[in-house]
Amino acid sequence: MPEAKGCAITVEYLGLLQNVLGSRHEEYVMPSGSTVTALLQTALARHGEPFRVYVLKADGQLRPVVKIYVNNCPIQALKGLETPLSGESKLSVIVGV
Amino acid sequence: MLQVKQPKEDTWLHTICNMCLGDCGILVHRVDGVVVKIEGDPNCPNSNGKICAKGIAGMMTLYDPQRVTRPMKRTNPQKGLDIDPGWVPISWEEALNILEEKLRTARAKDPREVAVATFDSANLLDKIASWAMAYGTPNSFWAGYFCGQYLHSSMYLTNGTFHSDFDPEYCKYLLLFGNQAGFMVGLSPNITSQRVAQARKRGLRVVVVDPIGNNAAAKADEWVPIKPGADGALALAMINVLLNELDICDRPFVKKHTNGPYLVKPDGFYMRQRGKPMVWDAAEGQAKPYDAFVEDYALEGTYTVEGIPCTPAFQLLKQHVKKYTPEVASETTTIPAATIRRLAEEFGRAASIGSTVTVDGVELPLRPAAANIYRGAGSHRHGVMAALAIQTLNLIVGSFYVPGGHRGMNLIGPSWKWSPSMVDGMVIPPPILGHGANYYGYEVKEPQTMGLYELFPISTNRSPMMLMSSLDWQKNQLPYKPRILITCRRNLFRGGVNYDVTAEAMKNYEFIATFCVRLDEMAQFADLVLPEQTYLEKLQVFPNSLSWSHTAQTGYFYWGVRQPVVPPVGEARDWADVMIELADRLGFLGEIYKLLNIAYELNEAYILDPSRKYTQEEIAERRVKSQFGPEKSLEWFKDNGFVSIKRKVDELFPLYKLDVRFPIYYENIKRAGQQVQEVTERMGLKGWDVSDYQALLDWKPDHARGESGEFDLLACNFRVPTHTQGWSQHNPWLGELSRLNPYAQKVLISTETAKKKGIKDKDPVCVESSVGKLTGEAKVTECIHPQAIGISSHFNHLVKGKEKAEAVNFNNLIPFDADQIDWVSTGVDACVPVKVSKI
Repeated sequence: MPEAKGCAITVEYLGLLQNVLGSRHEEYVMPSGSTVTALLQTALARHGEPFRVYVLKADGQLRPVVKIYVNNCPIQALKGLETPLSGESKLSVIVGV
Repeated sequence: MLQVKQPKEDTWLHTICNMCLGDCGILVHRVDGVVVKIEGDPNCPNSNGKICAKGIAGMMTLYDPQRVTRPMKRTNPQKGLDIDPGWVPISWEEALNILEEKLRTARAKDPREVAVATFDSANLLDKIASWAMAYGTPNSFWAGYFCGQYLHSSMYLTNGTFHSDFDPEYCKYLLLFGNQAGFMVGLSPNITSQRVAQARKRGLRVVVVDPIGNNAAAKADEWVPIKPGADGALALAMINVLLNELDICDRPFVKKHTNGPYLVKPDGFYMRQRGKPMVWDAAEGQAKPYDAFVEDYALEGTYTVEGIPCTPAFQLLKQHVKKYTPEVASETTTIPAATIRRLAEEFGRAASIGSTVTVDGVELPLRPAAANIYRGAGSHRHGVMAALAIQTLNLIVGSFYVPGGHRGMNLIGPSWKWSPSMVDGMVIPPPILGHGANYYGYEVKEPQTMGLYELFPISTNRSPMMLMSSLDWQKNQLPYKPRILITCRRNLFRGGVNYDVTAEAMKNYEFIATFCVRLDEMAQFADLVLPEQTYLEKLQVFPNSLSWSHTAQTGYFYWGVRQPVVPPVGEARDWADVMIELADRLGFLGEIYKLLNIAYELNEAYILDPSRKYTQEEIAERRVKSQFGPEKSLEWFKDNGFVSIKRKVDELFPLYKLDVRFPIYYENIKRAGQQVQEVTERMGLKGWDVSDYQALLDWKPDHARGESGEFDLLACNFRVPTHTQGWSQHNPWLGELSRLNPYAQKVLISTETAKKKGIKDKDPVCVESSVGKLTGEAKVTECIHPQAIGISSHFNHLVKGKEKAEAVNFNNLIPFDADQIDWVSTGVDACVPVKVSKI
């Protein structure tokens, strides 16, 4: 069976998360069709506790003040956290108040 | 012979007023570069070609000879309300250099130490919110201390929207609690007043419940004088009469569109299976998840689920309100019990439960009775509970998002571009309106924000806590000291509490910059004063906010542009432009553009490139074209005024297409209270009051109700149609109108009370609270409750040395302590025990 191709997805951090990560954007190489959930888990593995505290609640759900957009479209208008990502996707993670 | 000089230029320009939050479309007549007249714009659905006194007088604010015309810096390090700051004028370049240095240093150390406070409604949600986020501070505040806190959280919870509204087209009975909607005071006053006037001709009955016989009460069919702060008790008694005496209730609506059927355990929380609240299907005799197919929802009875006896929330409500008999409520409200019963029956019968009407071919429930609450009824210590009680009145008769009834402002968007989401089936505001208001998915934890958002999960703007953090940042264990404050159109004195308290807070800041049209109390504490443009000098795109100035009462969705009609006076600039300039200097302008791309929902062809810099005109051009296509340019909007789209029936009355529920039982609030208690105890914060975090609503007495001894009266404030908050006080035309108004600048006292105290009409009097006093001229009148003192909210103390107005400073009466705060929303109680004496 052919392997799923990897694709580079740009993630930009807007708002208060920048303070914590010290970074405004980064790239992740993910299998094509990976979901937003999968990408967040990868980001969590990379950044650890600071990322978790700002983005996720204790039960693993997204904090209400976190907005995620794929190509400037809110994920609520797409498939939510199961929105698939491709190599042309830009993910914006905004942590507000 | 007299020769008339012909003007070289004589033109009318479309723009949008900003003398209040109505954002009415106006036409400005400009002759040879001078504004000579302002009228309503017939192209604007929000004004319909009409304009109010405030709108007409806008040009007097533009041409105010006391305007700040250039930046100034202080030379006297001592700060105080009566201390000369020693202003020296400086260039904009020097001002920007000062600000840049301060903000750069703060950002490198801890950007959270910077706070921005504004009530600039056109900018606060996009440019300024984006600025604060990109800078890295969570401390961006809007609104004052008295209206936004309890009201908006209550509306988010119940309506799913920021604000309330009602349908005057079909309404036959309008019950106004502490507000004057439809009488030129409040939101969208222009169009609402037109609609209500038309409805009155068709037979709409208006009942005003208020301690003061204000402008609305004077024109209403009935004024019900109520003791200040007792509106919650009245609402609960009316609910009791409806449910337990008259059996008037829209049960099909309660079953389908509220959490009335949700089963509640003895501990007060929902019975859940696999996380879902359960209901009882009376037809099948079994418990089911709320979102399963249910033949017939049980609203009453006791049902055993997993061995636990459970009761539908509706029955708990019905039982709970029994203690609020009209007789008990009468003692609290001073309204006769018979009147309470009559009001309840009138409201309930007017709701015409079961009736329908066909609108544009669609048959809809008709519920022509609406209760509307705003500031006067809810800006009290237990304001959230009062507001939710009044909303419950609407809900139990099914008067929600249907013809004639109550509705929120824009729960759904044009062509359903947005719509609400749900948690546990309960309405959650659409993100475009939400400002992060998810009152089911909150987290309670140690505070990181000056507003203590983390400890007040059921609130929106927490400005009073900003004041508390400014006074003592360590009191609630904030991990940083606020050091820098930037304000525009947010006078923390006039929109605040006792001036000494605010002065103390302002002195704790190391640096304050204020943008202002004229020098005010904030300027007395500022290190830098910057000249702000008025709305007649600004370019702002689509200021008609979906949250508050985009009412369905117009029958339309509408978008217009506020354009500059004259060059700025002196060196005045639009403060949002200055903040953008600072962002560029500090290197985060690109971040702001990324956020604006999202906030403005810009199409690919019009998105802002973070690596470029755009003028305000360029951004405006992109925004309008992104929304309406290339043919609707900025010039088009300047020439034509508005784009309007007629609302379809489902955009006016969306309930029949919505599968959402609205709460009459607040399990989420109860849960939040447990978490707040847990966290505050862990933090060692003593005296944190969680007693109002209840699932069922109560009316509770507080210090204001318990007036006794020397402070035997309750001071409350009111609005007049010719003024807006404190903005309009200096406008000479409006000032003249207020001097002609027999109530505006006086101390209202009832005939009965005045006689007891030996006070006659026009006597000079002193009104004193536990923290401050004011003097004014008595207006002895029948138009006020005998236990109340009425002082309008607009006329505060002026800075020394400036022109005097007849000022009656209500704010100085208001203490700022634990007893004065609503511990759910953070709102400050605007009602104060006082004593009155003749001078």
